[in-house]
Amino acid sequence: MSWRFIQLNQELCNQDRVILELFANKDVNYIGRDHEFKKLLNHNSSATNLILIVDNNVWCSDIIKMLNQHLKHPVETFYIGLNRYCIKGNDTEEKFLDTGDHGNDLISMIGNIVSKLNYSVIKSGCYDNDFGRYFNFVQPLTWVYGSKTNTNN
Amino acid sequence: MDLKQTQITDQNRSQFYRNVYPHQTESTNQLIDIGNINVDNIIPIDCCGWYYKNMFPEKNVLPIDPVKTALEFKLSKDKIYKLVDNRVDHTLSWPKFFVDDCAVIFDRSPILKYLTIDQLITLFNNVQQTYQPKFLVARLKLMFIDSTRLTDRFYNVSTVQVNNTVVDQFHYNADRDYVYMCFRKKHDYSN
Repeated sequence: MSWRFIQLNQELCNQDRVILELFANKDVNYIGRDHEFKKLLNHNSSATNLILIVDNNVWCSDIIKMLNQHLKHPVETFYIGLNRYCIKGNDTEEKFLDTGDHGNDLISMIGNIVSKLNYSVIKSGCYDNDFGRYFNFVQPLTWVYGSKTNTNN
Repeated sequence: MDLKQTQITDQNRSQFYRNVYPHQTESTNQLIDIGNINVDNIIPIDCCGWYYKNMFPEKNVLPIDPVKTALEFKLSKDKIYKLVDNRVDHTLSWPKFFVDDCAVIFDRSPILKYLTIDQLITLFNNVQQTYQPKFLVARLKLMFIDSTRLTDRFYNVSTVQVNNTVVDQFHYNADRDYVYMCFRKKHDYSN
């Protein structure tokens, strides 16, 4: 029995619902480890909608590397979901905003990185309260949704 | 969007317990080696103390478990020595008892999850004051310590101090996602 099933049975968690609202019935290129959720999506590895889930331990440099790897043609819109607890620390020379508002600092960091790749953040959010005593599919989550910057403007 | 907490049910209880407390499937060399802590009595807090008791029969193990854990997972009384009341969020009521020559251990204890460094310091100091252990040992997964991620976290984690103790051991391994701290009670020559 999977950890997802143990916790959620057949229900959807917050992140599932955000993604399904953003990409209802659209083809998406899902990059993540949750193969059970992937089955609920119209996965197509050449789709222009990207879903990137970061829920394994990474350094900031790994996040930059992943975004550089995936945010490029043909991607038009993207969703990035991060468990901020998985970030080991900043191993780069970059100075990211560090106000103590952790979820929003992370959104700012992602915004800075994607802007250099000619993408813009349209919506974002975080569920970052100390709500649950278990690390689970409900919390914590920081998410960013955006699209390719319109270069005609 | 409303947030929803995962529920423990009759159907998922045993698997949930094993996922939250993986200790019970580990060998002695994966557990904290309490056999090498030079005290007679060990107080494991929220880390499957009953399993430590089985695996280290030469020690007198006195498990403290949270009330919520005992209720949610329906732990039998023989698995618990005392309960810490955690029914009110962010407020722990520690059971009062006296035990000489003891060490307290936290081994990936869920009760410490999502705490900030300041909250951890407060909790460790409360435990140190309550039980006066010779050693306070904490092995934590770094990912569950709440602190900024956008700096070098070591300098944040290394600020943990416990009153009336010295740092005996401190292992920080970002790649392996753990920190191990052992605080040793200072000698008191005043009596």
